[in-house]
Amino acid sequence: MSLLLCICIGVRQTSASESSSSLFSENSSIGEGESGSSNFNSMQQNLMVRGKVTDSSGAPLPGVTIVVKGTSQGTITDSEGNYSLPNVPSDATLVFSFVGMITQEILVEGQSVINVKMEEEIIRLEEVVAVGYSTRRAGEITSSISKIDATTIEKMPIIDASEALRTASGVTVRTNHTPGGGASILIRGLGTINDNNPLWVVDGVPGGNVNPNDIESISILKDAASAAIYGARAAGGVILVTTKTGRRNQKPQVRVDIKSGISQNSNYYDMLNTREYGELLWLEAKNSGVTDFSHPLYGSGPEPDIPDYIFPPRAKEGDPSVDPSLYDDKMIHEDGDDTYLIMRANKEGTDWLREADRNAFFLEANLGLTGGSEKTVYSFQAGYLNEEGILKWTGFDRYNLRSNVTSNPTDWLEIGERVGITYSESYGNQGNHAEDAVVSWCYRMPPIVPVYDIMGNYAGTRAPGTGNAQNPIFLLDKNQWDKRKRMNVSGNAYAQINLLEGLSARTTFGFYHNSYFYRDINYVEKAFSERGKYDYLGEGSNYTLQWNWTNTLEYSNTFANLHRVTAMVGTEAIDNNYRYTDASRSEFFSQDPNYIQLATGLQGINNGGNTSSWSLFSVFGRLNYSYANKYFFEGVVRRDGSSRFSEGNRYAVFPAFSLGWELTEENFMDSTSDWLNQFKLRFGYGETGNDRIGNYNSYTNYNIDYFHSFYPITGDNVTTGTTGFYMSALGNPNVKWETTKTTNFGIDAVINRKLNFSIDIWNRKTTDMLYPKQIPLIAGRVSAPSINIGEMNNNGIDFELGYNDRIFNNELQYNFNLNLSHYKNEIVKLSDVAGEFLTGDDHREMVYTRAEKGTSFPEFYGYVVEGIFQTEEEAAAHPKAFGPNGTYNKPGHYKYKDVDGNGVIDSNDRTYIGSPHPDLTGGLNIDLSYKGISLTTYLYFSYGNKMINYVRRWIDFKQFQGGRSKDRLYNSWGSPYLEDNTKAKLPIAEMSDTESQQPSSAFVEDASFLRMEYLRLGYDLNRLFHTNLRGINIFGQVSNVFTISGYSGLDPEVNRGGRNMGIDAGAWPTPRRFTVGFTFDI
Amino acid sequence: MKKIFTKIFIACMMVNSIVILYSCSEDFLLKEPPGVASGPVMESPEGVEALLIGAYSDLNGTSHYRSDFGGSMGSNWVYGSVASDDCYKGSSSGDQNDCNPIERYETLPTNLYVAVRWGDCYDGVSRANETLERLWATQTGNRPIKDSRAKEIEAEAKFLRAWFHFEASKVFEKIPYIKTKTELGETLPENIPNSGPVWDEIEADLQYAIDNLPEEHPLGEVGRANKYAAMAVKAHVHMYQNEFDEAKPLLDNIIESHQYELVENYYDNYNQATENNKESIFEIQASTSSTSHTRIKLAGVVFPQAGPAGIGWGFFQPSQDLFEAFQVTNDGLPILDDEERVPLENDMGIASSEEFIPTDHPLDPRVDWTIMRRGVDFLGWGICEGAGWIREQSNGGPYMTKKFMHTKENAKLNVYGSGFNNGQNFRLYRLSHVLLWRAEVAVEEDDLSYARELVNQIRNRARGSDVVMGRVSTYVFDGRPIEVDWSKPAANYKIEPYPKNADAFSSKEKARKAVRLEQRLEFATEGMRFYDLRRWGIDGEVLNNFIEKDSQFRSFMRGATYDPEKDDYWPLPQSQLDLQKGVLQQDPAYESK
Repeated sequence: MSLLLCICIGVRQTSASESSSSLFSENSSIGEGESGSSNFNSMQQNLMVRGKVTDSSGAPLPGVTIVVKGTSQGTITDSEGNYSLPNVPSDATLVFSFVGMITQEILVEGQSVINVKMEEEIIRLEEVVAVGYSTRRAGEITSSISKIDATTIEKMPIIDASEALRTASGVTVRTNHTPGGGASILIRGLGTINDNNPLWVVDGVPGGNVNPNDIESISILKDAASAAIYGARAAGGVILVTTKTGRRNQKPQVRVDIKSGISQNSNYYDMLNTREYGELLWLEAKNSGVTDFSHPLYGSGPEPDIPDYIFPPRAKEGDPSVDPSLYDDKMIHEDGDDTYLIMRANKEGTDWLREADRNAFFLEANLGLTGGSEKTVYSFQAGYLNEEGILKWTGFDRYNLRSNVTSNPTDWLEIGERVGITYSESYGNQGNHAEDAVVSWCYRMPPIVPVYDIMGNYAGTRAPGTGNAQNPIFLLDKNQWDKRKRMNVSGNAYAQINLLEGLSARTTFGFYHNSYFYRDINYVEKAFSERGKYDYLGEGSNYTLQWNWTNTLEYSNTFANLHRVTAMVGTEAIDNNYRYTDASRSEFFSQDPNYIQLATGLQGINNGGNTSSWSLFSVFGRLNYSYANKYFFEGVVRRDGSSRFSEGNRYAVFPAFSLGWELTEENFMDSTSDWLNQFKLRFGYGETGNDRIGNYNSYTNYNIDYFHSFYPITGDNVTTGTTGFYMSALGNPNVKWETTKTTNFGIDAVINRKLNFSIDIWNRKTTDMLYPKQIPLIAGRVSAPSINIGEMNNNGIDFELGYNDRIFNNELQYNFNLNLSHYKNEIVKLSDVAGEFLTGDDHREMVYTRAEKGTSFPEFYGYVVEGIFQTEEEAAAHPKAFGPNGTYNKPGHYKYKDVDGNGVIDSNDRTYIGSPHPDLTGGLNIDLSYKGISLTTYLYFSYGNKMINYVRRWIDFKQFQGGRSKDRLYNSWGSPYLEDNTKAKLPIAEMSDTESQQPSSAFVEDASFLRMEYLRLGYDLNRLFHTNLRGINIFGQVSNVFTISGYSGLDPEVNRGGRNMGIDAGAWPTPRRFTVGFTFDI
Repeated sequence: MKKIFTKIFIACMMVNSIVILYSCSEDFLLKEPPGVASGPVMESPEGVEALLIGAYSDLNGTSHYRSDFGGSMGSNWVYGSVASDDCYKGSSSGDQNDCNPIERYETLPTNLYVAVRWGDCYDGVSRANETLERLWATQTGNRPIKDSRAKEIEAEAKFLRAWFHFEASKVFEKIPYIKTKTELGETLPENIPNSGPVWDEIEADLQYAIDNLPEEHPLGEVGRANKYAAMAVKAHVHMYQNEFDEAKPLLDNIIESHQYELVENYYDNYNQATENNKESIFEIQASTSSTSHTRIKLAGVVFPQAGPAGIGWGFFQPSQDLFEAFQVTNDGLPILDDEERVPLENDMGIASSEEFIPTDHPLDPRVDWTIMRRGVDFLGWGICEGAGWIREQSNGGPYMTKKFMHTKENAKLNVYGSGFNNGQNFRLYRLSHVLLWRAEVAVEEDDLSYARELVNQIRNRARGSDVVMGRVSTYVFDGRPIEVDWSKPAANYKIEPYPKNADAFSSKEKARKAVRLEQRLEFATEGMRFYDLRRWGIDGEVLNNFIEKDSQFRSFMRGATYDPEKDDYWPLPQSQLDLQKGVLQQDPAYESK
């Protein structure tokens, strides 16, 4: 377990605990006694004790729990911090506790008024941690759980809850920089070649949806000992989110939180301008031995000549063919003639990414109301977010509401609900990681093409010699009406009955409803070389409806003040249904986006839809035993049954246990007790499963497909064809779960109540890993079923270190938190076929990643470039590439390594050339606070991870006629600008260079980086104005302050995972955001 | 007391409902896949017919991503034409770069194109086999198909199975013949080795089809193979093996059936409005509709990128060598020897806005139904303006193909979709194939006058056909109106039959050349040329001469050579060798040392 430590800097309202302890119900029975008749028949002399509890600044502290030690008798302070407790034995000890404060024990010694000043606790051993279906005191935890609190989340410039996980060790977070794009999460490496996503559980609802501002705390269950309670879905780890709630007897508190800012692009590719581009064309021709080179735009002279017009091609100013009266933007099916778009050359060169990006606006406003009475606590949150993307016309809007209410109508019953509603809308062209995303079109457009033609319409690649890119400005402008709307309603209602002392039953009904709608209009870009004919509209929607019903019975008691036992058993049923429908039409009478609807398209009338569902039924239990807070044991078992598996394999059992030893409680550690506050050893082992392999893997299916199985057998020209079937999927009824066994050893320590650290050393081993074993093509192209055959292993170490102190009369508080993580992933086995491997997707006919036995999942695969041939002799002496008759080797070309040493370079010489997995990642959080001024920063680094800069294949090589990098002209072998060819960065620039584009180590770059994720400076205005408000804070923040990296692409952090991890195929640039904000606490 | 009672009551209710839920969990956990059919559904007359349609559907090679390129099924444009002296890959150099090594004869076993071709062929085989298995199962069930139809279905499926293996045989020298599990008995399909060519099995399946298919199209549906289609394929299979004696009776049988005649107009073999005509023996059907496009995938790929019809990608560009092969003497006869042909003007490197005057040399009129070139009408879409219509001349020369694009007049048959698709069928076998193969047989049998007569049938048809009209007198295309005299032919066309005393038929060697050249001209860009060169045994000589002569159009061809020992077939895909270790053997020419 690794507690994330935080200083409480006067943020009382944010650290309330889960309110499910049975203490309160006991407390209310005391309340009844108080309101009834006096109780004088006690043998001992008992007192009525009163008093006021304040915080260190003297402000009243409501909600403090006061208990007579060794009994369950107690009360809590009211909104003025006052309490009164009748019937207290005069020799008793009162225990004052409050989350975030150091618990105090005070002897009554006959006093009837006891006022207490609580001190804020720096190290929060007493805090409550969600562990799945229950909570546990942090000090009792024996497994590996990281926790992130609202105080941390509130300072982070994040849009999506997933981005908050970066501050925890053992968690890899890859941010998607599109508006509202969130991040993808990996916990402790990769357990499988299949779905590695962790299971999110929000207030007990699997898959739940939550906004960062609603979060009270996040628990990350990292090892199987903690996660096995979620059984078959837990192999990727579990993220438990608890949303904000009020506290008993808390006056209504209102928080208003407003931030606003500007985001900017922070990086650009270094591209050739129009003149340099022409020069490069001539250099390529010369290097290819073409002496009479001519280009449709740059002419046929000895040197490139920049024309005045690119359409009509190479026209000069005053040429009759550029007479605007000839201009025609109607296509042949519109008026019988082709278009005649007259475009001027951009002689300086269009800088497409700078044309496409902008200063983007950001606004977030949140309103929260929390409070509580004796019997009811509540929290209501409302929020609005408007995040514009740094590419034009893109953005994300979000509206959210949350209502959490808990009430105790009687002393034995607690009922409650937690419901969140989120509506979000993203709009504009947000393509990412693809050659047809706007970022990629920006480098694929040649500089000579202007943004607009002479009539102000979009210019494009209709001009010969300009390639086949789309005008990114057209795409951004014309996609501004594209919408993605999402509505999520999820939450739970529950009831808990305290049957007997220590025994409670709880039933929770959770629901998750997500509906999604998209609308895409694709306008015909008339100036695009590969233009279509008609405008197109695609619309679709889908919904997910899931319910879960969870019942638990929990018993907790302490025997003889030494043996503490907690036992829980439960059942859970989950049913998930998904349905989609989509439709499209094309050819519209008007281009007005409001006119373009499914009903108004004249042709291309298509629709589709289908449904899928899964269900899960489970029984689980957990037993905790601790002896004298010294020795701890936890055992967990879950039995899951899933619809995804056939009857014979439907059920599986996932056991786990963990042990803890609190050394500091031992007598022999007494000598160190003044400085060593905690030293705890933990060990855990457990099994978890992964059932996410598609819903119907066990069935063999025959399918229809208009494109792949219909045939116009009657000879008609205009027909969908006669219905044909084909075998689409082969089933495997024997498929069962993937099982991940995790072993975890950990140490937690606290020194001087200031320094804390925890280390976890772990191993995860997945067996029965589902692998769609390839079937030979001679059996046809049927999708292969997954079979349980693979094995994967991960080892790692997570380290967290925190140091907190106050100096200068407690005026300067500071807090450093460092987390470091390392994992090593290895495929132990893929299938029983020796040498079987998996590859990533192909990128323009080339595949960059591969994985097989003994490698990580995945690694880069390709040729090894040993340099560039400098002389004919050197080239001739080298083994032939490619193949025995190969003619590739010559001066200026890559010297590919003969890896297998057989004297020929061919595909057998490809090998593993780097890994996208980092050796070490880490983060450093620094909080400083002095007289109301607070400074927070978070630095993140990733070390040792490599990246394939696939973008360079487009800009450094001749992949279509798009934009080119400066390097291709200035730093390629044989460039007239290069004094020394041995210093060339790139091979010789030629008219055809496919063989130099082979996946090779030349595209592998070190993508280690250090980034200051954010820097935040805040000030408490109450220090100046002494208002009646509880708090009035102002802050300024910069995100993505700086990045230090040797990576040559736009950003060293690319959010791609799975088989394509680490391939930069045109990633959305990382914005830098400047934000200012206010927080009012009323 | 009451309170405890209530608590216990509620707790019992909860326990109860958990028990109920638990006991129903088997039903609760049963989720069957929606929207698909299971095996038993296929074991019915309707199911079997639908599976057969699924097998036909693979004829156009649309089964999976990139099939149109690497698979090149049906049209065989990559292996049959791009690898020959007829065409280039075209487009720009980085585009579809798996095709570049095929052009340079440097294909490695890891090239994805060969895997796609292999997969396309065997996907078709497996669909034919699935049809057969389900047919036989249905016949033993309680709702069998009428015997006569069952026999036809079996014959159609075996025809397709033979066809898909034949398609594999064109590209790979040694392949396995995959039959149904029922036929194979003990042996599993994945254990069938590729010990050699599979001509015997292909011929056996085709013979079954010939014996059991009717003379008319089964079910009256024109897309289905009939007896003559099976004969044509079998004759073709024999031609591939130079088994003239065995091809001859089949060819004669088709000719003498008088079921087929040459159409009057050469272009009717490509015109979308005249599909499945009297010349046509077997066509791959294509259609477009508002929901689907079961097109021959070649269509959009080879449309020019620019110009009024410009919606394609600009692949598959004819060579200058092919263009020059269409030149004729003043007598309207072709020039058999390459060296004796004169160079013809071309607009390589000449911008559309610069002056270029097309050649006035007499040309076979079929040239302008085959090759899109500057100054000639492009199927009604407009006068081709040369460089401005070509994707990247420096990579693919100045021409585009014409046979796969629809005419502007036929645009109405292709109103659906982006314009990228068309429903133009591919005429796989037509009477002209049969006649020219028969002419080949006649030459080998020294019956030169019959050979001449057959060739003349083809030439006379071309002579009587409509020619491309529209003489252009504008030589600079700069946006101003283009002057065209639509009453005149677009070029100086001339074509005559070989006279009785023609030198071309004065010896067996010359006649062979004449018949072969006629096949080149008649079927140019139709995916046969490379295979023909190979079966004629002249692949090495022709292709190496071509590479040398032609590298001015393709700078990237410098240094490439064609080795007839090795490059006559492509390597088996490495991925399949790895999956079927010990079963499949690589073509020894591609074994690394």
